[in-house]
Order: sequence, then structure tokens, then C-alpha cells
Amino acid sequence: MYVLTEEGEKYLKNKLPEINLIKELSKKELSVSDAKKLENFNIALQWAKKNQWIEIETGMMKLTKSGKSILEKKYEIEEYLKEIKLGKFDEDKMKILLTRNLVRNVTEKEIETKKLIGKEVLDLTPEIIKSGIWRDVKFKKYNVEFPGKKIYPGKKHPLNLVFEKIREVFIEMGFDEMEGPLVETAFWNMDSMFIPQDHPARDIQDTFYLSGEGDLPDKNIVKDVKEVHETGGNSGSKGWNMKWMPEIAKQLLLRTHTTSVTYRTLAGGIETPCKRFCIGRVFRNEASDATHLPEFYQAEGFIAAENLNVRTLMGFIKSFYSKFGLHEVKFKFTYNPYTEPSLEAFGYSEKIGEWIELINSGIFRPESLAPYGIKVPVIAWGFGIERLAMFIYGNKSIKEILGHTCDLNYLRNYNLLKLEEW
Amino acid sequence: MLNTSLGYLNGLIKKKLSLDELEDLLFNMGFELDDVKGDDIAIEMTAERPDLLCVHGLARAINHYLGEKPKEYKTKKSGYQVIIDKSVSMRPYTACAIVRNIHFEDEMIKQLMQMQEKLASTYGRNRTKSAYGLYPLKGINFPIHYIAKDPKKIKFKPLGFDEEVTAIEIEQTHPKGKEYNWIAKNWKKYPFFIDDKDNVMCMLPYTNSEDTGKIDETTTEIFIECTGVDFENVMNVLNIFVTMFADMGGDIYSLEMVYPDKRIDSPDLNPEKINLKKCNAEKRLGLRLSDKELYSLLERTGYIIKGNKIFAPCYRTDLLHEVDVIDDIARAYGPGNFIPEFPQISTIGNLMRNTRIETKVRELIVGLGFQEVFTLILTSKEEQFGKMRLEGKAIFLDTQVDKSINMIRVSLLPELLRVLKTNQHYEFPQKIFEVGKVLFPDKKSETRSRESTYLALIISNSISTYEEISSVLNSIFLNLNISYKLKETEDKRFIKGRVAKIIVNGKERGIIGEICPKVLDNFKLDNPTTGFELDLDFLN
Repeated sequence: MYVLTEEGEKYLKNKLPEINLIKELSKKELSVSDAKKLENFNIALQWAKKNQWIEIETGMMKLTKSGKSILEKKYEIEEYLKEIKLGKFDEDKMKILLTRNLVRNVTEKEIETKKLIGKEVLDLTPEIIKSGIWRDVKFKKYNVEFPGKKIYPGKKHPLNLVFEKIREVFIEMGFDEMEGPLVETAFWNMDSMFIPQDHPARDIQDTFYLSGEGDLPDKNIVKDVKEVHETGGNSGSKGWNMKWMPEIAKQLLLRTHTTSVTYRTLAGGIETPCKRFCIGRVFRNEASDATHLPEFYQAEGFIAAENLNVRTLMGFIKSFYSKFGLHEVKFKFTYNPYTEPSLEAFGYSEKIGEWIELINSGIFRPESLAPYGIKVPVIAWGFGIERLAMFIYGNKSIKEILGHTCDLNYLRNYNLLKLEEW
Repeated sequence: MLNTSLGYLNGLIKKKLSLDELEDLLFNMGFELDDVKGDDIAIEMTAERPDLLCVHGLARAINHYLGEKPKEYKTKKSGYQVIIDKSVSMRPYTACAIVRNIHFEDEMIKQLMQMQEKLASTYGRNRTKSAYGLYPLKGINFPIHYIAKDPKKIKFKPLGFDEEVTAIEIEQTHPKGKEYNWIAKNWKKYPFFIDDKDNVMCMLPYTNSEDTGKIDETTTEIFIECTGVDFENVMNVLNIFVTMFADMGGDIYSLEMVYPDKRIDSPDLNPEKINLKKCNAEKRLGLRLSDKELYSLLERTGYIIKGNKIFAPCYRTDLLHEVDVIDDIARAYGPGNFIPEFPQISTIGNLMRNTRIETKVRELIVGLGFQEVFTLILTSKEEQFGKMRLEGKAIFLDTQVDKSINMIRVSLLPELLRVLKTNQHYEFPQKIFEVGKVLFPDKKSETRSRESTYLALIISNSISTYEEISSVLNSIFLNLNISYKLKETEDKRFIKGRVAKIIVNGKERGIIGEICPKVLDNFKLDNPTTGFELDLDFLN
């Protein structure tokens, strides 16, 4: 819809400037400089010339033939303005009026908006702002104390926040990230770290075995691992005093711990001092319940350097725990097949008011390092991430956050700051 | 786990301990009080110390820890023989002993049974490596013969049976026969202990004879045999038994084991000389120790010190290396007495490139309003293929305990649809995604498998259109500044005409579309759902 602009309205009332000029000229001749005093002279001159109503000779304006006759005729522009006023539109005619800025296109909204003047308004709209009528309306008062509606943002998984925190801590402490495959050979999952071939942890009750055989690594590594198992090799150990069988080491399985990644890294050659860590999924062949699933995440780190010992292992774990808000730490000696001594570390959580056991750690046995030519002590520790996460977020069941059984409502609403408060 | 009572334990140790004191003491030694019910206690033991699987062994360790000087165990000669026939090649070793002057109480019998069972399952690796039998000495006619025979030709009365059966029947009828017959699946003959008057004493690896192999409170003299496939294993485990009997007050008598090619006195209770360099202990523990301190710490964990020589007691079966002795020194020193020291080792840490990239992708998608979920890698054929109307190659499981799983996922989409199924009662739209690993078989790889990192994303709502999901995909690619193409395709998982391949650098990297109602029906989902799955490996 089109309406007259302010200028259009004025010309409709007072005639167009070019007509007013012609009227003056029909009374008497005028010089250009005299005519300048007339209202809107430049517009009048421009259109009078364009319409070929006047000619200018030596500074004097003269009416042409059509200039003389125009006063007796109807001027089409003026007629258009009248039509618009009456609500008649013709797109063709509109073009010239639009160029001359005598009409403008208005939306329904603008028209509606106009009606709001003096009234109480609910929503502030771009039209109210543009048209300037915000000056003339009142805004309805809201109940601003009423809380907003619930909306769901995109969110990271709560475990992912724990991963990020763990990574942050390791990186701060100078650890390089490492990774390794989920499907492993028994060699990397067990043999490489001196777990005997008849160890109960190898039972199918604990380990997911896959059909087929994988490849063993470099012959020299295999030879040294075999020797250390059978006789202790050059490690100073008696060994397991049992024939080591390559077919057992070739068995394929889903890794049961991330220590397989550590041993791949150690066997791949390291430069000391060396600090590495990884976070990864591991698998145990067992039935699932509220607190256990057959797969879970583990974090693990090691340091290989001169002069590491039980005290530095404890010192490290203490600093590591304090990064997770557990400032009081106690240790208990335990048994792991590939570390000696081995330590379980308990941290005191003020938040839940009890000692919690997360970290299992130790100094790698010489038998588990000799095949890779590592002469310096290697301290290592690892822990299950779900267990830590369940302490932090207070979940009752791991199934609530992990797997297809996860509770979307929980994931949408969990407290992002829990990790910081813990 | 060791089950006993606080009262009984206190009767065996020098100092009467309260439950709290016991708990602290066990903690320092590296064991844990697991459960308490009245006077009954359960203690979590560590697997490498089979000598602590009975309360007498634990009491001995506690007494040493509290300062009692470790003693050496001695044997007297019985003059009897066990003759080992060369036919027992399937289980070639035995170690035997005689115990006299034993006076059983209820708790002792209970402890004995507990230990026998636990040793056989742990140290004996479920009887495959070694198994053990106890017999009243009275009534045995020496020498005893350890010999393999055809089980169809031997008849005896197994433990718990009223009448004699043919030995081969034991595999099918006797509870222990049924439990352990997998051990003997390739045996034609079975090893027996038979006395000199042809009385069958036991059939291995199953059961003793009801007539000759049953111990009770009235038994005061015992014959004990350990058999197995590893000479050291049977000698060691016998020592664990006889030192326990010695601690119960019995006298230990040795026998001569007559092998086809050698004669050995059994048991051998001589302590073993240990080579320990003090500096190695100091280095590993971060301590400075005088010789006197070192010896006293060693004695607190049962080592025998003679002059400046260190001997390990005969019941220790777990000492492979100097570090195992150093571990005992650490336990004797007490974990609470170590002063932790932060290692000042300066290195620079880095994340892996793929971790950093995955984080960026996750953040972008979270920014698009999607909730991240973590589904499991272990799933089932039915979910991955059946419900998705797909067929394909995958890594399958066949020895899984949890029967709801049987393969490793090759796609994230079905797992996301399962998440929707669980959460049907919550508000829509449900917009979820996962970045995670999928695995495929790969004959050429070292582990016969190949891992890929996939991104899958779905929108489920009363209306969810191709345009909506393709806009999400588009904005992901735009923000990663990677060009891609969509190419119309057919795929049973999606509605025909509303599914496209995602092509990146000329390679097919994923699929996008409106999930077919048949698939939605398979997952019991009511709302229209659109989604895509994309292999992110092109980012690395």
C-alpha cells in the first residue's frame, strides 16, 4: 500500500513547485537569480526543464509553448497525488512518485502500528521503533519476577567434562597424550607387562576374547619377553618358570586396561625423562549392574626418569589427587602383577565425608621393563573414570549416564558446576 | 578372602587386638578388613600370598609384624616312601608329607577346608596346575603308589558316595567329577594314589576315597599329597600346608619321593637364601636404612636373618625378584611412615591432534543445540543390523557373559535411536549426538581390526525434515571450512528419495536422511526422526 509522504501531502495542498514556477512566469518574465527566492526553486527548475516548459536565455527564463498551455490542462503528477489520496494505485504511475519521494510503500503492520498511538502496547516491534510512535505509546507492565520457561541448551556429556579436567591436570603437569587400539593381542594386554600366561585375569570370565590371531611385534621383543617369562632373562628375576607360548600371546581380545597403551609406548622407545598419559575405554567380560558395565573408561599415566621411588610416587599421586579436591591422601600396599611395590591411594573427600579409593599405582617390575631396554624406574598409576564421575555427580547408577539406557532428562539438567565444586 | 573370627585370631596372636586395631594393622600390612558380622570377620587377601589363605598363616604374619622373631620349620624322617610311576605324565609331580600330633578343633577343620579349596582355585589354577588331598594316616599301607590307570578298570567309593563305582563314572556322577572333567578331556588314563594293599586313596583331579580319604575331628595323624604339572608349585604348596599344621601344633615328618630317575625328600622346609643389595632397596623406596633397620624390617615380614645373610621362609612362594623382598621391607616400614615427595621433573605436555579436533567438533555441535550422549561400543547384531535393515561385516563376540551383547558397533545411529527409545517420555524435540569409535574387521591390521571415529546426530520431533538435518550438516561443514557434496542414494534405513551420501574430497564419508518409518517402528519410536552419520577420519 502506498501513502503520500510529507512532501507529497504538501504539494497536494500547495501545488507542485514546477506549477507554481510556471504561474509566476505567466505573470512576468523572471531571471534565474530572481526566481531563486521562490520556494523549492531547484525542484521547480529541474522538473520545468525536464517537462520542456521553460527555456533559459542569457539568464532569463521563458515559457515554451507547452509551458504556456500547462496551466489550462491537468498536470498528471498532481492528478496522481489526488488518486493516491483516494486510495487508488497504479504501479506505473507510482514509479515517478517514488523517485520524487512523494509517496512511500507502507506495510499493513505500519498501518496497524499507527492505530496504537495513545494506547497501551504489549510488544515493542521494529515498526513502533521505526515509525517513532514509541514516543506516543505506553508499554504494558510485565510480571518481571516470574521465572522464565525451561529451555534445553546443547550440552557436553558429564563424563566428557571429567575427561577434559583429567586432560587439563595431566597437561599442566607436563604429560604427553598417547593412545592405542581397543582390540589388542594378549601380548600387549598381558605378556608385555609380565602377566603370566596362566594368570586368572586371562580367564574368559574376565576378558573378551575374539576369534582369530593377531600379529606379534618385532622378533627381538618377542624373544626377550619369552625369556623373561620363562627364566627371568637378564632382569634379575627367576621368571615364571613356565614355557611361554606364542599362540597364547597372539590371542585377540578387547583390552582390559589402558596399560596396553603404556607398554606399546614403552616398547616403542622413549626418551627420558618421559611423562605420558591416556584416557580410553576398556572392557571386562562380566554381567552389568547399577555400578558396573562391561566397558568403562580408564585414565592412566606414567613417568620414566632417574631417581623415582615409592616416596616420589606417593608425592605425585598426592598432587594429582589435590587437583581433584582430595587434599588428604593415604596409601596402602597392594599387589599388581606388573608393579612392585604397588600402592592403592585413598583420598579424603570433604564433600562426601569419607575416604574414597580411586588410584591404583606402583613401580613397574624390572621383568616388565627389561625386554625394552628401559633401565630407569617407571612409576605409573591409573583409575576408573566412571567411579570418579559418580562421586562427583552423585549418580546412583552408571546406566543413568552411559549407554542407550541414559536418562536424557538427567543429561539435559545436570549441574555444570558440580565438577568445580567437588 | 579369608573368613574367621576375631576371637579365634586373637587366640593365635601375641597381643589381643580390638577390631579397630586389627583394621589399622591389616591396612599397614597391605590387607583389608572387608566385612564384619558380630565376631565373624572377612579379610581381603592379595593373590600373591597363598600362605595367608588360612587364619594360622595370617596370625603368623601378624606376630612377625608385631615383633616376634621368625622361626625355621623342621621335619623328622618318617621312613615311608611314595613311588611315582612313569605313567603319570599328564600330572608328573607330587609332594607329600605326614603330620602327627594334630588335635583338631572345629575352627581348624573349617580353616583347613577353606584353605584347601582356595589354594586349588588360585595357586592351583582350578586344579590344572596342582590339587591336594588329605588322609588319615591310620590304615594306609606304605609305600604308596602314584600311578596312572585305565579308569574303566578301577572301582572305588568316592567321597560322599555309599557304594563303589567305576572310576570313569565319577566324571558324570560325582559333583567334583562334573566340575573338573574339562581338565582331563584328553586323558586316556588317570592318575591315582593307591596304597600297597591296592586300596584306592584318590582319583585325580577329582576326589578322595570315602573309605581312606576323609578327615574329621578324631584324626590326629595325616598323610597329605599335592600333585601337579609343576615341580616347584607342588613343593611350595605342600610347604604352605605343613607350616600351617606346624602352627596348629603338629609335628612334620618327611617321606621319600621315589621318581623313576631320582629320589627327593619331601617336604623341603629349608629357607631360601635371598640376594638383596641394600642400595637397591634404598633407591626403590627413597629411604636411607642402616643394616640393623633393614634386618629388623625384614624380620617383621617373616624373613630369617642369620648373621648378615637373609633367608626367605619356606612358605613364601611369591618371591621372583629382589623387588618382591623390597616390597616386604616397604610394608614393614609402613605406608604411613613414608614422606611423599613431589618429583621435580620438568617436561612439556601436549594433547594429541585428534583429541583437540574432536573437542572442536563437539563444541560446534553443542553450540547448535544438541545434547551429547555416550553409548556403548558393545552391542548386538539385532540392534546394529536387524532393526536397521542392514547387513555387513563386524567383529562378533562369542564368549560373552552378558548375553545382551554379541558384537562391536559399526555404526552410532542405531545406538542413538536406542537412546531415543529409552527417553520417549521426555520433552521433544530430542536432539542428540555422539562422537565415538566404531570398529571393523581388517585382516591386514596387526590386531585384525580397524577403528574409526564417527559423528552421528539425530533430531526427533513431531516434524523433522530433511531440510532441517541437512542445514545442521551444512553449518558443520561451513564452520570447519571443508567442502562437501550430497549425492542422492538409496538406503533401507532411510525414506526413499530423502537420503543422500555425504561426499568429502570425492570419497563417501557418511549418510544423511529421514529415518524410514519401518526402522522407527523396529525401535518402537513414534516421532519422525532425521539424522546423519559421518566418518570424521578425514579431519586428521
